[in-house]
Amino acid sequence: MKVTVDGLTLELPAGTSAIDAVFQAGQDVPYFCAHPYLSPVGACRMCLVESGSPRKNPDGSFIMDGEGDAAMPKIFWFPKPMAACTMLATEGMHIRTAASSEVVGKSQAGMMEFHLLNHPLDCPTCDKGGACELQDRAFEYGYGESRFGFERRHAEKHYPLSENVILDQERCIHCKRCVRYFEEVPGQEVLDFIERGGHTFIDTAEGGLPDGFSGNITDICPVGALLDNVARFRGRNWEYDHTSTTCTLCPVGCSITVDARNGRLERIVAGENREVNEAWICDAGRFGHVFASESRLTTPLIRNEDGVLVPVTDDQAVEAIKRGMAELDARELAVYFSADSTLEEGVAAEAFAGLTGLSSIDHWPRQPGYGGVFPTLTEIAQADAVVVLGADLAEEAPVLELRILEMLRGGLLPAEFNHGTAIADLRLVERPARKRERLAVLASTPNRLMEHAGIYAELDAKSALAGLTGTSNHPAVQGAAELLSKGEHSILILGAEALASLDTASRSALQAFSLRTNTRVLALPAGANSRGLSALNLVPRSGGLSFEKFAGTQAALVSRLDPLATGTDKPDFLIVHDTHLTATARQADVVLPALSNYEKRGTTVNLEGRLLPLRPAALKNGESGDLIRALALIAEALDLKTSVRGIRGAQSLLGERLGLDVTELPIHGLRTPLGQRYEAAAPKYIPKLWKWGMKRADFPNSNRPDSELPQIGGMIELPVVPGTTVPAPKTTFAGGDD
Amino acid sequence: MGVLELAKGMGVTLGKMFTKPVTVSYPEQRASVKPRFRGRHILTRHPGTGLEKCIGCSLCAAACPAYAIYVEAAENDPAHPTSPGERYASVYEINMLRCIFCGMCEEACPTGAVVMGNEFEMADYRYRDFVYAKEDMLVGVSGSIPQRREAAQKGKPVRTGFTVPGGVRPELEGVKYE
Repeated sequence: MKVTVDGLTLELPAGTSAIDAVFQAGQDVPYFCAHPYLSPVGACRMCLVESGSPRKNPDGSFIMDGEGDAAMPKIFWFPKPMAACTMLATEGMHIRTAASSEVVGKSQAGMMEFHLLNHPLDCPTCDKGGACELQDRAFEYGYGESRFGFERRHAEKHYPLSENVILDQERCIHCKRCVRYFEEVPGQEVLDFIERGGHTFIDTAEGGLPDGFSGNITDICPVGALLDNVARFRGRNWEYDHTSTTCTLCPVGCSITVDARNGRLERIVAGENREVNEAWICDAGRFGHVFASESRLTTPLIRNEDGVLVPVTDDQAVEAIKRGMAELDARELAVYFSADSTLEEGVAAEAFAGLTGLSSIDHWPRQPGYGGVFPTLTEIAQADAVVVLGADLAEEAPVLELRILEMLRGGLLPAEFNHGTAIADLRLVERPARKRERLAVLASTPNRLMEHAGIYAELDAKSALAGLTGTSNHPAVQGAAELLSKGEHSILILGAEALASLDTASRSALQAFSLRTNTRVLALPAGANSRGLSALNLVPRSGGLSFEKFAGTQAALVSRLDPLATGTDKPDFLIVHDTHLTATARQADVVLPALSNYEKRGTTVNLEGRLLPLRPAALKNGESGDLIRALALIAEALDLKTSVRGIRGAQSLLGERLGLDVTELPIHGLRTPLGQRYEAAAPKYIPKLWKWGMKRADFPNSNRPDSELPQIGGMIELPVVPGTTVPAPKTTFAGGDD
Repeated sequence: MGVLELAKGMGVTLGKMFTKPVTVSYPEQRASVKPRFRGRHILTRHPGTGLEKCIGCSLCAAACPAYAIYVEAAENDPAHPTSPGERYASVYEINMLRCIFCGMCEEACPTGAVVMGNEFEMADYRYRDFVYAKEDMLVGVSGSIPQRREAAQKGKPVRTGFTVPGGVRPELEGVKYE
């Protein structure tokens, strides 16, 4: 299909919208209401262009203009400018943007003036200022001044829609992105326009916004009407240091951008990864970052003669480890770490285990896996039958839920152009029909996804799985089994409950069932990087103790886990590597400060086996180090020479193992076979998305923004050591943004 | 060069001996500065309500070519607002050692909150005494940090070493230099 934009003729795939044709041609039109992953509706009328198409005679030949060889198909122009986002580009279409048409420029400037009629010009106090689409387009396309001489509309200014989202109704330009988002993406009809014309405002049904995916509307709002309440007034957009990284709260591995100011993590916004999270992230991933900048441990601590923890240097911590391990053999030191640790930390732990010959090593949470070829998230979105068994996706992998809902809408992934994802994909429609019958949800407790499922039942995972793979007289189980066997691209998703109930018999029955029905099985990993860490030998060796038996070890390193919170016994010598002074850290003999995953460089593997990079955000963390560094310090204390002393060593070791350069990973990730999987028996584990520290309410002693944090403690104060003082932190510093 | 030229030159010198000197014996005598002289910043308040004009928008910090300004904003308590509207500056600091007194902050300020005053006597000993916070710059605070320190030690009011003949600019509403 040939389309001419401002005199430039280009070849485009059929189905392209006029706005994408314009952008593909390297031209620009302003727009507010179009969004790549939402239906185009033409609400803002900003993307006006002049367009025209050739017409055909009744005999099928084109109506020509001109004489002889110079004759060209005559272009019949629309009498008025058209909205490019809702117009399909057709064969031979001509489009004129503001670059070549005065009419278009004038219409766009006129529309801009209309948008600004009632918009309060409070950009200086608005958190969107500096990253505002309205501000930028007004600057680029507006007249520069308004002729409106009357009083502007006044409405509710700071109106919390939920704990995390705040609405300013005066700033709203009625683009309807947020309304369409809720209807189309999470399938929740909670927001809508109320009243008409200039009085129109956005509001929710009673009870505010539902939890789950509400934060995404703060990203897509083109003005400052819907804003992130957690980041409210924390900094201006040009003051943030932006870091594109990967979220590691759950195994989906969404692309995020971490915004830090003065070493504090103030805001997280969604990044775009077409293959993983498209442009959406869950509320926990967006708002649950408070712990990264509150009450962090910044120096190593050791227990002194009086039995209290005191801040020390790395060298003193190494000495303390040396003293603690003096009576013990190096192989007695057990190593336990969190399953959201990076692959680099995993290879470092594996190398450390090889060095000391230890047998007790484990990562937690760990879940028995299920092999086979697992589907990608895009394949799930484009499947025709999905059964979710024994999983509460809202807790285990929220964005996977969005991809399943996308499957119900037909799995239409917008096309990709030179300018990125199609701005307006005309296949996406408002209030889409959902094929509920393609989804079955079987879980022991009701969950959010059941509302969208054609088949659902509250069943315990063991009997549901047995019924699915064998025979059952429960109609829902029968329906689910039939769905999977009839579907051409059928996918079975197993959650924590289902995986905990797997035994040898049910495993082989499941294998037989998946072969028989041509169903691919996706076992949800328990931790964010469980998929990656299971490819490394990080499970208890023969004679070794797993994490839940940690109290039985003589000496242990516990990294970013808190086993003593539940009140078990502690080993004789305990080294804790953590970001905060947790219950376990308070009982430790040596505490090493840890990096949170927002500050790490490394690689994580998501549930579809995609390697995704972690990049360090500029956060203030004192002497904190990752697990690689903690293990290097311990190796030093044990007088062992380790080959992995830092991230570079770990990366090259990992590169050798995987046969690729992990430092060169694209931000959208890479799927690669990880090889052999190491498994061991694991206890039942039910993931929870929101953990301690993710909400500001978890830090009642923090009195931001007037004072900086104390060096240690905060939420949990350290016991005061007689005769010593913790150096008072410098309260503020001028000119801190350079 | 003739005698006439010499006499002319001597005449000029001699003539100046009988005019009033332009130098002042500062600091005993006050120097006079022009109203548009750019000195230490003043954070102004709204007349009447007494609320701070500053809304903590950080535009002064963005405009500052010397990176001398640091602003942190917070939400106003509706019952006891610091400034009109939702937002106020909880931290507002200018590092006077970095400041080049160019006045770009004043130009960038959307509310006319930060205005270049006429004060210039800020010489001090410690680096941190050059970081002026909100309480050092709000209108009504007279004198620089060292001047106020000295006044407190001596128990006397702050004495600034300059006057502004003809009064301050209208932007510096409520500011009096004495």
